[in-house]
Amino acid sequence: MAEALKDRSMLLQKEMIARHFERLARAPETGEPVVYTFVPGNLTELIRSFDALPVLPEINALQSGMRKLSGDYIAEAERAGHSEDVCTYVKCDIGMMRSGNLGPGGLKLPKPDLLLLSYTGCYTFMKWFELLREEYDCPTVMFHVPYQGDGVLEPEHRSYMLRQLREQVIPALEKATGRKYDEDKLRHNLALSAQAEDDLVAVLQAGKNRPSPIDGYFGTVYYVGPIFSAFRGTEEGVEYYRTLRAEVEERAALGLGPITPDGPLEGERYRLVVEGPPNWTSFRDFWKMFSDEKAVVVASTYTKVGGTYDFGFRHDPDDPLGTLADYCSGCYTNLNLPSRIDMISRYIEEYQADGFLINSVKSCNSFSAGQLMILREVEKRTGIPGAFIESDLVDPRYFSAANIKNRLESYFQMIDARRLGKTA
Amino acid sequence: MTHISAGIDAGSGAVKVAIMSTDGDIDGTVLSQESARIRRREVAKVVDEVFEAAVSAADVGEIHYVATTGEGADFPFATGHFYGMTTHARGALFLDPRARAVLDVGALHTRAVAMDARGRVLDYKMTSQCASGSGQFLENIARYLGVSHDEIGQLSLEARQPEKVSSICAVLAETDVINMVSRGITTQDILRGVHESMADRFVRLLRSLQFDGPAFVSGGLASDVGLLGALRDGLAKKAGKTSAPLEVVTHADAIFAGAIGAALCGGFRYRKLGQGGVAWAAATA
Amino acid sequence: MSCVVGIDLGSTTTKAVILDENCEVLGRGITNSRSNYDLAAAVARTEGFINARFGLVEQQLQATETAAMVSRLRRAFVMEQILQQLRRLEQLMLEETERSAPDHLKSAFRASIEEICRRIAVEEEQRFKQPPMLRSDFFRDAAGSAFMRIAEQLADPAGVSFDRLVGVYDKCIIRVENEPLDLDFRDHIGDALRRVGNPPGLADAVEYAVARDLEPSYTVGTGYGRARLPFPKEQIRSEILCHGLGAHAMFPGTRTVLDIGGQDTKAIQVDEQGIVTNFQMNDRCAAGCGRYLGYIADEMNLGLHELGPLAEQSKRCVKINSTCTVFAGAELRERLGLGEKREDILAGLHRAIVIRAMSLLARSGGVSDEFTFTGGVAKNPAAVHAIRDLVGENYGERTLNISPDSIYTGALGAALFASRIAA
Repeated sequence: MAEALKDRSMLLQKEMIARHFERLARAPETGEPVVYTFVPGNLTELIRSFDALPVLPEINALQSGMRKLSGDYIAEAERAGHSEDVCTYVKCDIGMMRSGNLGPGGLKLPKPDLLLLSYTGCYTFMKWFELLREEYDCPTVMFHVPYQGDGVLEPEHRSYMLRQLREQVIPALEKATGRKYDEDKLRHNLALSAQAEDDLVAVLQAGKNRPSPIDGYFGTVYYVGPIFSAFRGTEEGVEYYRTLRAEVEERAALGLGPITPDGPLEGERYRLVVEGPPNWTSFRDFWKMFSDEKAVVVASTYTKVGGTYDFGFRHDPDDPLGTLADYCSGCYTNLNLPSRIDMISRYIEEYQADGFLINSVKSCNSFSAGQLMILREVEKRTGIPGAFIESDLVDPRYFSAANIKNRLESYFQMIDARRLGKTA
Repeated sequence: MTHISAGIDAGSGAVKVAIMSTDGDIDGTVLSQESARIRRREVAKVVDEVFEAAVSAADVGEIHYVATTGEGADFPFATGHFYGMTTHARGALFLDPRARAVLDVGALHTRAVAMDARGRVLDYKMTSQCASGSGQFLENIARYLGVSHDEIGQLSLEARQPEKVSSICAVLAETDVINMVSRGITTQDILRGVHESMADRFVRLLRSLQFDGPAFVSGGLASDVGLLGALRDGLAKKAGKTSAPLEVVTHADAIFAGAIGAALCGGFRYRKLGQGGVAWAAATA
Repeated sequence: MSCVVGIDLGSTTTKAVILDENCEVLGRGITNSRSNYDLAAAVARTEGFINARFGLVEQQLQATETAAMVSRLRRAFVMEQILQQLRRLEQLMLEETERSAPDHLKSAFRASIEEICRRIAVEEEQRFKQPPMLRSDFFRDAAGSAFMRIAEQLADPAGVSFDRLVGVYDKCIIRVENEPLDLDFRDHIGDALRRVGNPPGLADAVEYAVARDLEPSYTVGTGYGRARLPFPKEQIRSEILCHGLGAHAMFPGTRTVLDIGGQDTKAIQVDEQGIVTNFQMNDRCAAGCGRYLGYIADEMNLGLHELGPLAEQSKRCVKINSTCTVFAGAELRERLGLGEKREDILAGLHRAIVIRAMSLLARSGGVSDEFTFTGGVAKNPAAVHAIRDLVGENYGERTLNISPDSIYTGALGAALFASRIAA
């Protein structure tokens, strides 16, 4: 991350992540059990209640993308026979494994003792773990989260999930770790989660200020990092979000804009809402296209993939398994199109955005399918024209900087022209 | 007993003709070789012209076999036709006996062929139907950059920070080049980037074949030192920890590989069939 | 008089439009794009000012035969420009021969080059006496096709071969294109005037046009290469806004604009003032754009301008499944192999390209009345045909605007922005 960012929260995050990867590297010696799982629907509190360490392959893939390693990893996976059309997170992960399985920090990642798949609308995750199962020959368990086709969680969906947790997921974790399920420990973790979630929501909603003290997309993918990965329900997580919230609230009180890789952004000109994941291989260049034009993202949907908290959901220690089910079903990828349209439209209104952008990534059908309909519907509801670009997660071949820059410049100039037209 | 045979290689960009005297399986002597770019002229006329020139330069009274290869439409004076991969394999072996594969970089398509020591084709692969690994594509890019054909190689060697263009599709790659120019990337770096992307494709082609010896680059781009350099670097990068990188060789007459191969195949078939008669005889005044 | 300039630096062609104080078009200029953006912009601008001065000549003449007279003068002028470029090309080719031809062929080479250039000049002179014919605006194309034809006649396969001549030509035409040449009005108008016999009225009008001061007060640039135009940022506009405003200026009733250029396709919605309200562009893949047609032309060994008219001869449009260049090339060969007619396949390809554009139009908000089609591909009759059909099928009856000057739409919009800033 940029040298410009010297905030305490950044340093905290760096340290906690480094510590986590060191612990993972030592896991084969210390005997700490390791559970691989995915960001959407991750059951970190439950995993940690068994004193197991979570590993999140997507995060490794996106980190590889940011470190410009993903291109070679993907080529390696394609040589092994994975087609050009396969999700590039998967290929990046497979390529990383075939190249010595060194994690983003250069430390070796341990083998999983269990692959825990929370199925939240991404079929590729299932295939990904099937490939890993081939590779590691380890036990797997699937927690199937029903798709919210009607936009609500039905009671029978909930009881179906609870049954799976009790009858499959918990027994699998007990077997893999050799430890008994301890509900008090889980409650304790969930209480910590709820604390961190309160602070995170305060950070996200700081985007409603003018100027916004945060970038709700490029900056916020860092902010959600800990809570979406290994640190939800930990003391470290609570401390991180407390620190971050204080920093953001101070910036808001001083009327400051967000910090970008090129320093603080002053003179916010455009407020945007963004739908879709970012491109990781050209992350900084992509961000700069916005910050150079004084465009700030005030809210985004991608920052809800590991949990949607800003509409009121919090983990509830009094209903430990039920709350895990509720959390999983509310992850962004598990929502139907009308719910996504609602969310984006609400963000545009509540955060007073001038425009919205959809980044359609080639890799991810869970995200991209239906985005054109989302575009049209949100335009209809808000009266604001949307911008649409296409790129990819971690395949550098699918990010064309000049085209995207051209598109964004045109979009910002259109917003200007419309403003002038309104005042003329 | 030697026989005289002619090989006509009509590609989509140029016509090449070789006249040879042959006396064995893959042995022979080139008596003359001529080529001309087609440039939207009528192919049959270009073939006539180049054939005439080659015959007069070879100064032979009669030709026992006239073999065509490549896009080879029917030419009335041709005796028989041979597949491009066969003739390029034969021709490459003639120009460099160590060669065990040919990379034929054509105007629109590129093909890799694996062969044995006698020039028999073992396997072949073609670029996936796209112009981005071809001479025509490179020519379009060079024209836009204001660089003439024979300056490309040298400029590419002077690159400092090349940026790769798309290796997926020619249209994308052209877009990339235009974008690079807009961003102020130097001509040298752009050309090297184009060469590297082409080399990527060629490396993939070659590595998808099994062969045991150097790969011979034939066709119009064989003289492009920038492309050869990028190809060698690309192969070195992809070499395994234990295996040495594939060796790439070429020859000053590499553009005639197909024509030479066709003439050799023609001579061989003529002997094998014990054909009587003469395919072509100089009009004796 | 004071004027403003708009420059549109596209990936294939560079255009300039010059407007007077009343936002009336004074002149338009075009040249083929090259990686030297400054030069491309300068050439387009020069051509624009030449065109503007011819406009002034026309204004001065009130007689009925004006149009014919000025058009002859124009043709004479263009010929002088071509001859000047030809002289430069010849000089470069002779130098190149001196440098690189084998000694025993040097004199034969020189003789061939001089003869080819002499014949091209003679052809130009003769062409001037004939009624005007449609041909490419660019020296490269005009000289190139004549050079190839004559070189083929003169070439001696054993000595100065066609191949060697083409090699020298290829090298030198690039140099001619990439060096600034004095081609402006003052340089050649005297010779052009003599060529048409110096009629008194015309000479006075030319005198007036030469003397008029055309001072550009402001320039705005747009298009692909805009970021590298030698202007400050406030003089740069996105091509989306320029196309919207330009189309609005040509057709005030237009609400939807489709521009298909060399590298990109833009679907634009504008309001009653020409302000862009929504737009969508193709992404990296330029399969539905002009360059794609270029590759298809290469694949079929045809000139780009021949594709449309050939496709128009189709009686039975073939359904093409792929709009990806990669696969379209393969599909083309496959279908030719199956015995499908070239014109039917081409008609299918044009339709496939337009289908891609239709999805962008839908994405931007559909097609409202009036609908304007601009950009280089708007010159292609088969593309226009396909647009008409598909818009009709999807949106019903729509007024379709195509201006003969549609290629200048972006430059016109840029010039209009310049006039607003200058005001």
